[in-house]
Amino acid sequence: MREPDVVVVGGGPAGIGAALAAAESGQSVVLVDEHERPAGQYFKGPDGSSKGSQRIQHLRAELARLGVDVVSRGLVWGIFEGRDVMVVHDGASEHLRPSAIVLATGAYDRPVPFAGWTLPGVMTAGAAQTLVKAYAVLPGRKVVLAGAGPFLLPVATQLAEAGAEVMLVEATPARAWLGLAPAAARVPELVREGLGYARALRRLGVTRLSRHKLVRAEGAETVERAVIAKVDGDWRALPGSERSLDVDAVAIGYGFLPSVELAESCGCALRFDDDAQAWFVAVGESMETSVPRVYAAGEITGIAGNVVSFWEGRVAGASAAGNEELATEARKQLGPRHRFARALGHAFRPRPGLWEGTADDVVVCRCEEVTAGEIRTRIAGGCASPKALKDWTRAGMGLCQGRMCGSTIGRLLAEGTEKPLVEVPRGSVRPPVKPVPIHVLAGTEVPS
Amino acid sequence: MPTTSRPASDLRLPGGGAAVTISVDGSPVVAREGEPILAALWAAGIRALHTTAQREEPRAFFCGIGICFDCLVTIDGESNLRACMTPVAPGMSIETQRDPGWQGFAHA
Repeated sequence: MREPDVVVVGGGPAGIGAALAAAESGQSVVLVDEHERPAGQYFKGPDGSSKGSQRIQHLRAELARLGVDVVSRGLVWGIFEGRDVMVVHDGASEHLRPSAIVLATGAYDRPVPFAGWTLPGVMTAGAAQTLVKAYAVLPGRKVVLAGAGPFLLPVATQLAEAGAEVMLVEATPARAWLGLAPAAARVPELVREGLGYARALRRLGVTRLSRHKLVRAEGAETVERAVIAKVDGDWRALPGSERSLDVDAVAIGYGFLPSVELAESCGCALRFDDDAQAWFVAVGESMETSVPRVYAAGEITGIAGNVVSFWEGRVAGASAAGNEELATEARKQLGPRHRFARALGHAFRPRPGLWEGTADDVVVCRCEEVTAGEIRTRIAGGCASPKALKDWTRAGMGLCQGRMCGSTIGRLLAEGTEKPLVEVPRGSVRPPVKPVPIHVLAGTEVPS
Repeated sequence: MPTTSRPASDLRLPGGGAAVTISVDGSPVVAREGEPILAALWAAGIRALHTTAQREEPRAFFCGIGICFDCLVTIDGESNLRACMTPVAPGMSIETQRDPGWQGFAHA
């Protein structure tokens, strides 16, 4: 067992910010990250000369200079008693007992089931971006990118710049962007970035459709057609407006869900966000959670992008180190950016029509292949919680541990039990929070 | 295993590591050292990474970032590994898989 001062979980902007601030405050820091090297989703990709690439290379150099112990390809599979951190790396389990923990586990694209969403070639917007930006592989030659929100702009731009023929299909009306003006006045760098993408999309000849959505994906062994339709203000498809497009890839992006599993499994209180229709980790001004000495930063506390994540991480890392001065400095970076993030979250919040594609024959739990119809039947028969549904149908019991179906199951329970989503019970989360080979755990003494 | 063939260069963009050869279902596939297996297989035109246990549907990746566990392949004999999280190494042997599912345990 090692006893560093601070363990940071997650090597994206928030985790890097936390590790740096704690290390600058004289703490010994272990940063555990699941990927090849610290980057997170925003900075993923090969080293290059772009501004983003230079930024992450600088941050990695800072981690090294300050002596942060970076554990790459490491998985924190559980946190016990709010202090014992269990890590798997290099095929072995390690026990860390720090005096403070910072959780910075990030977010992933909100999964929304629709007919054909399990076909090869149908992917999240994040997956399409990862392929093209990080791995220099096009997801397809003809791509429909559908969804809502600011993240679609860089993805469409990157796909088109790489040579794909892209159609950008947005559920919101064009005026959704104009409504952001008041909050945008204080974040000129984000406005410049957004306008830059809009110009690039015009220059690259990307077709952009507002008030449309993807209705279904079709194909035999891989996606061949995307069917889109006009939508009303609630994102419900207008009858008779469907049209079919030949494609070889489809990407969907309706915002993000936070990866709160680890925080939840170690007892951190969550808060429900009405705009995101999702649960986030509740934190105070110092980014401390309801569990003493456990901090949270970045997208798990609210979807706000890489800059906010980095500064929240710095607040958390400095606070974990007891460095109030450094925490106060970092906090100054947050105010207007938080307000703009909330404005974005509200402007592109999912509307009820988003979930109308979850017809009875659509698979909701991809791992265990459980359809919406099977789940609805069980709810009608009295299943009132994710736990009961898991027992009866296996939904949520697969390798992804409910990350892909959990939000949809919550929604089906809300619909079937006539409760608001905030009142629907959540599934329980227990370690290991991601699959770990049994031979690794076999030799592990679990702290109690 | 159903796959759609296409020229390997079709989806490839410039850049990446040195070319290495790996084996996929017994056939040689040119990949770039260090890229995830997912990128190599997608660029090579392989679409169904695994076939599901119950409905026998072809599946590839959905999230691409290690969350969805839908890019499962067998790597050097070990099944159910995420193609998105495992980097290519020279000489690696990949098999697209037919998932055993939980029913596989009934007779174990």
